[in-house]
Amino acid sequence: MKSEHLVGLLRRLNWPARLGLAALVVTAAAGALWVGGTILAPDDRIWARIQSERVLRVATDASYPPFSAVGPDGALYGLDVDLANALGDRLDVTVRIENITYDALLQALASERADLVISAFVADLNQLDDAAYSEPYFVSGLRAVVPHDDPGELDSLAPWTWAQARVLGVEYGSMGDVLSRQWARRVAGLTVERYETAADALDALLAGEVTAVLVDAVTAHAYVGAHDAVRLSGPTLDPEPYVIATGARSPQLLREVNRILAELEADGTLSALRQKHLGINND
Amino acid sequence: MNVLARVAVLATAMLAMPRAVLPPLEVGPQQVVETQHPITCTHTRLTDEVEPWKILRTLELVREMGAPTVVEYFPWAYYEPEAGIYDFAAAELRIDLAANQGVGVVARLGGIVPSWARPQNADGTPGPDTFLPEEHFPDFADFVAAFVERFDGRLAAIILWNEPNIALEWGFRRPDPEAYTRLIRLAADRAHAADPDLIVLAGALAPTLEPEGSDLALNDLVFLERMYAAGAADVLDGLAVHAYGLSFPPDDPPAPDALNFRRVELVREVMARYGEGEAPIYVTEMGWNDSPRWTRAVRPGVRIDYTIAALAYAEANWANVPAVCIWAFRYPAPQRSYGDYFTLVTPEFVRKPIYDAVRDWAVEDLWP
Repeated sequence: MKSEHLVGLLRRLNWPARLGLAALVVTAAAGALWVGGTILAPDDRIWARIQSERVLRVATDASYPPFSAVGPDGALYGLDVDLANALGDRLDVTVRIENITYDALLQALASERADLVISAFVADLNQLDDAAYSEPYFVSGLRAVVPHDDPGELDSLAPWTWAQARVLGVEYGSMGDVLSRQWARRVAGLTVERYETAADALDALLAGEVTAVLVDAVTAHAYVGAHDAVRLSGPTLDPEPYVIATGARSPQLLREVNRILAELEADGTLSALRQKHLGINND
Repeated sequence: MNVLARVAVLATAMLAMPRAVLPPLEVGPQQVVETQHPITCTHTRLTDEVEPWKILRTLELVREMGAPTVVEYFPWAYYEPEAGIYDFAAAELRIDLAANQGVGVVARLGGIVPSWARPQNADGTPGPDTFLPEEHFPDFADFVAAFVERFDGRLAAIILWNEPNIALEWGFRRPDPEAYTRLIRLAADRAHAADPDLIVLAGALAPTLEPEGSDLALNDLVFLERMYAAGAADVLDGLAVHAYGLSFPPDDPPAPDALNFRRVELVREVMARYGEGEAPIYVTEMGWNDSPRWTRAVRPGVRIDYTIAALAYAEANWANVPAVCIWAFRYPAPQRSYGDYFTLVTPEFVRKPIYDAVRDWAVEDLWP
């Protein structure tokens, strides 16, 4: 298109249309810069080092079973440990896992002491200067547990409706307790029974003292996996996705992690790990 | 109207929307905190709160909980962006709204050093934001004096700096009690000159067992002893103290090698040795954590029980402790870490059961 044609076209547009066109041009330019920036990003030297040394360094806070913990023999175990080793297998590198306190995990990435954090880690969007985050491999949060023959299904859009006329068991003071207090103000007939621990609330469900419980997802999964008489109901509430963190300047490593996570999900490996450590799958 | 024009109109409407939907802040009549336990206090986190209505809502909830006092943080760098140029508008809003709710403010001053007062890195950028070189100690004292003059008679107390016994708060240098004492001697003198009735507190020390010579931190009791030996008592009206319970119950006995709630009693012993046994102690941070993810946490119900028991214990057993402040009332946004499990109210202003329990303890017998 000749330039005079372009000028003529612009002159035929009214001012709102010109503003809209300008907005589109700016958006397109920003998009091009973004895409170009990704393509032209500087070399990922963390990825390069992993390739040359054939070692993947993983930081985990081994204080949170069943994700990461120290066994009686001093060895680390858990879903995060197995996941780290699975990543290492797919990358064909040796995995070295270091037990680092939770507060220092992202610092370990920033200081390049570790290549990855795999530690039941919830993405912190305030920390994007130091870290980038993978797709989730587990979604924590709150889960409802009901008797296996319960006909209702919790609806995340209006969970208080599901809760109406139920006797709901929760752990006193927990986020399940917080939610149940909110629901009790919205619907009639909801009775909340508070227990000292989440396990006590689940036992009360088995004993028929309550008709449903609302507890953290990890506890819920383990309990449902061990007891055929109960099942999960509805989706995770207040979801907290657990992700793998890389350094903010390791785009190639992050792409590889996401690629392998997708592979592990597709071939059932992740599902098997969740089954092994949590007692149930978590899609 | 063609498509582009519609896009433009929509974009313009979206740009205008925030102004259209944000109501002006309506501050109601003067309120009074009604409480049967005036020791009840909490550390708010209004520093990074942007919207005025959220600041007001926070302080309303504090009042309704029966807490007549809050601790709030006023970072130096926020209020003196250029040397000698002060902008106290943000502090004014917070202190005015607290006064409207009948809540007294203990102002924690310091923390972030303005870039102009920090040392330069090799590349010319400002150094660590908690690094205050000694040549700039008088500048901090100037800031403290300006703050106190501005809020003359409207502050419950001020705190000079925070946790100077850990490297993180001391410019990533080895903590130095004598240097810190020189800093607070300058600042406290200026504060008292501006308002002779103001209660000036030393910055609370981080409870830690780190030994002498550590680059990370210094045992709080050792640090305090060296502060007093360097003459801190001459200028202070009292101390701010941090008293976290970690996984121990509130009546766990104090011991030099134990980090627990009653470590405050060991602080009092140090004060008494230097003739300060009757000076006030403000417990400006305390509490338990109920994160499932943190090894030093307790279960949520235990956290509630311990917190109430700690407040009652302090009230019954500790003389000259005007306030025991729960860390933290609410964060402006989720931290996505165990820190979220220290709070009483969520970022969305949902009250946690622990908030209701503290409120019940503080005010329940006041109402029929």
